[in-house]
Amino acid sequence: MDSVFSNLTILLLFLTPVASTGLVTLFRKKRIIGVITICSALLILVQVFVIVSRIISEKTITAFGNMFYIDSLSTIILLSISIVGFVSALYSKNYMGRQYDHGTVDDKHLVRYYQGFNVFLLTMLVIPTANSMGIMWVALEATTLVSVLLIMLYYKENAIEAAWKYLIIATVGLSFALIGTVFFYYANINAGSADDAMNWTSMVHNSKLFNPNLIKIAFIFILVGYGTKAGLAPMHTWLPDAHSEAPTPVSAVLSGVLLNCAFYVIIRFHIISSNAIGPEFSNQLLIIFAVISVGIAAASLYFQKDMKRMLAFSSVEHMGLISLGIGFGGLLGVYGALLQIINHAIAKPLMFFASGTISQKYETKAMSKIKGIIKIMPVTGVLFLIGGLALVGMPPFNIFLSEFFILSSGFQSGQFLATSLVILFLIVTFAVFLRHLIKMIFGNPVVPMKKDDMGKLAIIPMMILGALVLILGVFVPQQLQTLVQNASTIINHGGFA
Amino acid sequence: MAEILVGIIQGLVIILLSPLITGIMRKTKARTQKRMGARLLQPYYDILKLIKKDEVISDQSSWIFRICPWVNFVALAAAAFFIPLFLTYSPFGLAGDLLLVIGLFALARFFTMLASLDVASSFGGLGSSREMMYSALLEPALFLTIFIVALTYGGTNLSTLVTEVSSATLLPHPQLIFAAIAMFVLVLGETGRLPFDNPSTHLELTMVHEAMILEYSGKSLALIEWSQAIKLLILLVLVVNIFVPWGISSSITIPALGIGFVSLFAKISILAIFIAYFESSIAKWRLFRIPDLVAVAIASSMIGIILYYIK
Amino acid sequence: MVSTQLSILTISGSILIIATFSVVARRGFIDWLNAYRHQSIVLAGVTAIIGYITGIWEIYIAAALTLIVKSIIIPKVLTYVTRRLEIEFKTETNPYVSLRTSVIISALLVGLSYFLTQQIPFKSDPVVNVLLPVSMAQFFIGLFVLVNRRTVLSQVVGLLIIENGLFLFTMVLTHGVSLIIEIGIFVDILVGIVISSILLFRMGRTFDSLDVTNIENLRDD
Repeated sequence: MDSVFSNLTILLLFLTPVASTGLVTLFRKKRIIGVITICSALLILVQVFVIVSRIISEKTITAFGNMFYIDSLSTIILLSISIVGFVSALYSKNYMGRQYDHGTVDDKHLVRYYQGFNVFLLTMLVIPTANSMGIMWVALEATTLVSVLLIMLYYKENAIEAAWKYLIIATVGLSFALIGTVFFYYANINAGSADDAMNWTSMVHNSKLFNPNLIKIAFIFILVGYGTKAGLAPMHTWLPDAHSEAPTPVSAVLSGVLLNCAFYVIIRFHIISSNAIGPEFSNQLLIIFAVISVGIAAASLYFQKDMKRMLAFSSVEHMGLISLGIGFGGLLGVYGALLQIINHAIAKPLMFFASGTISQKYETKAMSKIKGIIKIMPVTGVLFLIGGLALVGMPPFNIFLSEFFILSSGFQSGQFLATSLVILFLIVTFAVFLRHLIKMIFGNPVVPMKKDDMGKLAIIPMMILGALVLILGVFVPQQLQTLVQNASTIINHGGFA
Repeated sequence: MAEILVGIIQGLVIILLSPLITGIMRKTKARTQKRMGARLLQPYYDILKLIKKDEVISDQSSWIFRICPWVNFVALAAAAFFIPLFLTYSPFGLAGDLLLVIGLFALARFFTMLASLDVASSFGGLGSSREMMYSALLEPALFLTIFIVALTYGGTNLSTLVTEVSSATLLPHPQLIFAAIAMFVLVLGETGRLPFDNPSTHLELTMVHEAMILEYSGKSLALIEWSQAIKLLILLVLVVNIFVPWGISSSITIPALGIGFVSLFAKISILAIFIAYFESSIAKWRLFRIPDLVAVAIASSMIGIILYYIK
Repeated sequence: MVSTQLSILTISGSILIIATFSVVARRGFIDWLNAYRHQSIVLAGVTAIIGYITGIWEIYIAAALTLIVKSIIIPKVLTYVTRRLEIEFKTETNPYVSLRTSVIISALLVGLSYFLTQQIPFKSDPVVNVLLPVSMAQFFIGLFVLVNRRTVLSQVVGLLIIENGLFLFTMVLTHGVSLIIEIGIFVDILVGIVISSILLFRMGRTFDSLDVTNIENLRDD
């Protein structure tokens, strides 16, 4: 009875985007397809809330034998996918509508866009729910392919270039990841597992028997491979291009969720490798990559001229912080990192939406040509400022909280060098980011423009996200706290809920 | 006694048969290019005709120019006696080392280069400088390939080598596949076949070997042509006997020797036809692209050595 | 394990390396595709032999898929897409490292992969000993081709070689991951090739060239 219910939960979760893709293909009308996508994203959100409530009471859900496995850790990712998916769908309606009016896209492109968007959501939903590491790999590779299609929606030179770089770099990165995955699989087979050797649960179960040297090599492959997809420096080079050239709602999903999905897989392997050889090895690696990421992001932010590229580098920085939290370990560090995943998934789309609206209004992404946002688009300007302040970690916004947890856990665990370096980089980021932001928001517009906030549908998703940024900065709801705490326990105690 | 006799026969067979192999290759090339081509025995007639002809020698030349054909012929004919042909060993085997054969080749080549410089014609200089470049490039590949073979079968003595080869099963030595690829390139380079040099013309500015022997005529030319043919046959025999030694006889009985001879002749002909066909399908390469091909040979032999040490 | 099987595997391993080298050593796109096709056919054969040795029926399906997808469909798709391209897009005239050096480097990479596989603790199994280094070598050489060449087409070929190496790697080490995942990987490759073909097509039309130096507009300076 119970398993039937679980099967249904998973099946419905996957069927929603599939059905929505089908409907989009069927109707092909500009008005309807946007609404269909919004409805399906809302449906996914509702289902995820159901899953959240179940997970809080039951800790794990397994479905279809052992094929799907959801615990608190996966639920956090599911939550970020569904929230960002919903607001992006909402924002797409306005954004793509404007692109249509502007003549950048035609009906065919719109249909393709919404199909891609739904399939993209589907592939991302598979990653946290799958139990088999192989299926996770396949789904992650599928996200690459779908998002490449979404990036090359526009026939622009830059879009083609970004899509090509993304395709090549991500595919090569994932091929490293596959080697690492096969190493883990091999270790699991040697440890005596048979049919379900690719399953995470089986790997965790046998992890004490794995050959330590093999696991070390395997984890390096995993970190380099999935780290490419997660945007950890120095494998991040595709990220600014792809994020800046994609249609804005897609950028939001790429940055807010896809990076998390890739990092989620790293966390899964981190748990196994910690079980097998103790946490020091993978922790050290994660910290090294984290410090490099934050450092490179800080340096690159200084030189940015393009608004969306600036946000993309800020994503690199935040992925670095998440990796830092996991690497520091301990209850506080992991708790902070997981909270950071959610907080970043809320704040970054807000910024992308705002910048998308702004660049549509100003018809440019160059920051030097954008001045006086607050005078022309008051609401968007305020939300843009809130998001920006949250991203640099100002109190009382949400990211401050998680960054604080992460950094204090760094001092607790005695990683003084890494922590102080990161703090230094964060200060640089803070100054540079705010400087860019203030120059854009205040001052007088270069060309006089009509005061206009670009429509309700553009504002509503931003309002939702802005409210969440504020609320999560002041207090974390009880349910979310339990969820994150459970997930931290999973990471710290070898995978069992 | 019988051994000595067989050994002498082996050497003589190489020397006497070599123009025929050249003939086969020319005929094949002609046929693949939709020509009738000369008769198979034409190289013999050429040599006989040249021997009968008068010789013209430049009065600027020294004794080097005059002894070069003889050095060539003697060196290569001597090498011919060390090669196990249809018997797994050569009775003159004690001296018959692979390195010695290569040394004799180098001697012949050295004198050819000197002689071509000796007459002070501009073509001679061109030819010898190119030849020097080729030999410098081919040397590392050649020695790496010999290493593989020597390591695999324990020694560079040709007789022991071929004896070992004929008793071993073929498949368990993957390094030999790579050695064979390198060897094929080397044969093409050493004998001046097509991507390296066009053997069928002395009218091209890009010629190498033909440029060096441009001043020769009459008897000397005949000797040089003949020694070239011998060199080609020796290399083909080496390839065949080291990499595909099927059918070679290991005892001195008439039927075994007969089978050995027939199978050897068949294999050599097939290889010769293959090379000729290969030559027809490609054009001569630019001089500066030749290192690419040599690099393939070197890489291939390096992989062979890696494979040897890994196993 | 019968020694003839092992011998056949050894020989096929050598052929795989040779086919990989012919991608490194040649300049034309059609030559690369042919080398890739031959490689894939041998790969399918090797897979079938591994299936025969281990007696797992799923491996036969993987072998059949390899034969169909990699040696027929992918070359067909790529030839179809590039048919209308001008010839100078299809030849690699100016790699970063010259051809002869890249051949030597690739040989060193083969050495490296043998060295690496000896460092990693694997169960001693003749199939693993023979073919695992070959798969690593394919992987490394594919990476090298990918970074060394300037035309976009050779990057695609580099990816394909890497992918073949990966396939051999999984096949040899773990006798293939489960069939569902295997099929998923095949679908991913196929879709990836189709997408990259579309991109190639657009790139040819937008830039009038397929040189990577054209796609270096997006950078931070």
